[in-house]
Amino acid sequence: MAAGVQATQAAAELVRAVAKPYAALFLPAVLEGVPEKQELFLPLTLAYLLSAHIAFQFPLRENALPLVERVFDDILHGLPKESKGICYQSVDGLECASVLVPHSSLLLTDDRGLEELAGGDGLSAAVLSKSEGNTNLLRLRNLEKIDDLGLRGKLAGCAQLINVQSGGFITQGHFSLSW
Amino acid sequence: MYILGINAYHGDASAAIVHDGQLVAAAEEERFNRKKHCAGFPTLAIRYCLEAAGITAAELDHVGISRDPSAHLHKKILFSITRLSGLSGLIAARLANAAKVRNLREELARSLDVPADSCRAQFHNVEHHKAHMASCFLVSGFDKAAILSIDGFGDFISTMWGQGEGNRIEVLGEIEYPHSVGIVYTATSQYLGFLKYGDEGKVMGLAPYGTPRFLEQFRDIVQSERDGRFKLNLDYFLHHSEGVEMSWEDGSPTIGRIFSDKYVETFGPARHQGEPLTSHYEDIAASLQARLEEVGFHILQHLHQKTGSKRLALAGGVAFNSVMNGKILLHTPFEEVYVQPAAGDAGTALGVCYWIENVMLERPRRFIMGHAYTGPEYKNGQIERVVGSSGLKHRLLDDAELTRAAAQAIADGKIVGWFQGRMEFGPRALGNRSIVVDPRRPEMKDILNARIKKREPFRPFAPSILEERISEYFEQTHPAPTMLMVYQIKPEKRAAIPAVTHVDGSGRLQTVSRATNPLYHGLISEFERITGVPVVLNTSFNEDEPIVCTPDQAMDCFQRTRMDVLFLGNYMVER
Repeated sequence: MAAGVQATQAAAELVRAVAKPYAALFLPAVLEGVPEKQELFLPLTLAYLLSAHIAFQFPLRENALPLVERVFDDILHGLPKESKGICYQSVDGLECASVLVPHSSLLLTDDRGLEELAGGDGLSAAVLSKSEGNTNLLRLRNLEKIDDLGLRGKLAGCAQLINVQSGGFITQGHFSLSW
Repeated sequence: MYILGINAYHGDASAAIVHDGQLVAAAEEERFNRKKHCAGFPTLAIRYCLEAAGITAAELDHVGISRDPSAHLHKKILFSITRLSGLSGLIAARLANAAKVRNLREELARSLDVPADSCRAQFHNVEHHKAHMASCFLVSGFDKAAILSIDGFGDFISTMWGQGEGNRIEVLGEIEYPHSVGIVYTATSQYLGFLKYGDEGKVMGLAPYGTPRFLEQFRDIVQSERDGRFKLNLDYFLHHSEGVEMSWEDGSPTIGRIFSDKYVETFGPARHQGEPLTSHYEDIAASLQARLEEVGFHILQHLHQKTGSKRLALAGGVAFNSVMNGKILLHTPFEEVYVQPAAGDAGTALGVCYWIENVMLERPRRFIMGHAYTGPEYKNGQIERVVGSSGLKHRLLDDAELTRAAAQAIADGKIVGWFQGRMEFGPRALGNRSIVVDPRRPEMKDILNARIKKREPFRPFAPSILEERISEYFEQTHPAPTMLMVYQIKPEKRAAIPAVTHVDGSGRLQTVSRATNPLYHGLISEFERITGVPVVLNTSFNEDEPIVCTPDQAMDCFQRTRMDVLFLGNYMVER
């Protein structure tokens, strides 16, 4: 059997096996190799926070798993484990992982290409990106399609926090949010 | 290569400029706009730095600010969402309404009145505590040293420690929000009725009047942990739960109440501003100070174990606690301590410059900050206009006549304004923007307060001593050129300098060397020649305002107060 056909079958199997509804955490960095630890903190933090409302499917290459585990250990240290779960899916690469995206109720990613795709398909998506000056941004697409108001509110809150916190300098207001 | 460093949107906004590794200028914004601890954007300080360097903004190669909003971003998000009011849309709405966000490049262009695209410099964010660490280690002259940065908060961190070697800085540990000994000091200062930004120093001055009988309570408030760490008992604080309103907008910073009702349950009613300072409150101040020292030495013992270094570079707002600093050599294995004169947030502008120069660009270190004289200076020609238009009696002296006349005036019991050379960077007047009086006269403290300073009577005044004579007057001899160390005065000398001897026999000294400030050294030498005492009382040249910067401000202060003689450059001015 050709490698391409094998991959397609594996991907179809993956989609069948996954319980719905789910959110997909799609990070090209863990599908293409082993990323820098710093790159993972923000997306994995968001996944943890949102997983209180919806289970996540997280495709990644096997060799990225130890680093991902270490980052989650750092993030979760001392926190209540309020989560419906983040399920690792060991995959061979981007193509196999991407089959999880169209069937997801929410896509969390830092892949700008997927953002356009999600927009076109009417998929709910939260997209992390960097703007000039290396500041983080979180853009939300089709938020209104999410029925769970708790999840919707948390997504909006996270976006507001990230976009305000990293986009510049807070000069007045709430001490706890200015640090 | 020109590098501009900025501390903005934080207390003590400031700017510094470095040219090819050498510090050209550094100053706080408050000196120019006359707003104490000004926390906005340091427009005037930046303009001064560019002028001192003789360049325009277009010639800057790098611009950095000592804040990195992206640093520890995931921790901020986690904290906000898991601990503050359950979040959802609530905090988002609060942020949207309350936060005012600024962009550095646009703000710099706006402040200098130039188009944003005219500045070709690269812009950098340097994490707050890394800027602090750079501000002390990289200019200390130490090849290798342990480094501690400790303050309220900056970029979600309150305390960071590490090791410096060559032009590298390695972070070995940090304490995150909401745990901070700086915030404990601020909260307790608020409880004691000292509400203004920067009032923590008053509580440090109050502490020696009390006994630390509440030390156990403070050990519960700040709890030591393994590996040099500590944590707060958060029941005593509001900043982590309800939040505290604050403003770092233009002008002096303000922070709402930080301590919770648990303080009141533990210590009784909070003191209101202006109420009597009873022994109860003195004991609370003493206990706070004792606990701060315990925690500080706990961190430093660990830091020494990790680094093996006998040298320490120290920065952050808590590094202004000169009582703690003075005891470091007695209570830890460290043998040399470098505290940069602007150890607080103002100094992060300097740290940004050297972080970019040495750490980011990997250029070799070639500057040692041996003094604080990095601000504006004025020639006699410029001063002549001020004294001429004052209508006051004045005469021009040479340097020898100047120091002789000033020393004689001090010995005669006069209050002397001493305005010379470049203004100091940092909160201490170190002999260039100073008021100088005779330390032998016990009444001088009250006279100074009655006629000029209007300070709380419990606060001590500081001595400047010839560096070579320190061992005769003080129990410790490690140089203290930036007035950030408190040592015990030798018991047999306390009666000789009562106006600068605090209630516990200590003095926050400045050691003055001929090499770094020959004129001030000359003044004290002349005073010694007349009186036999190589010490003067040195307090900042101001009256409930930022330290004077210009000759006009000095003349205005002189005329507004009851100072006796003013030495403005080489001019002697009398009423």
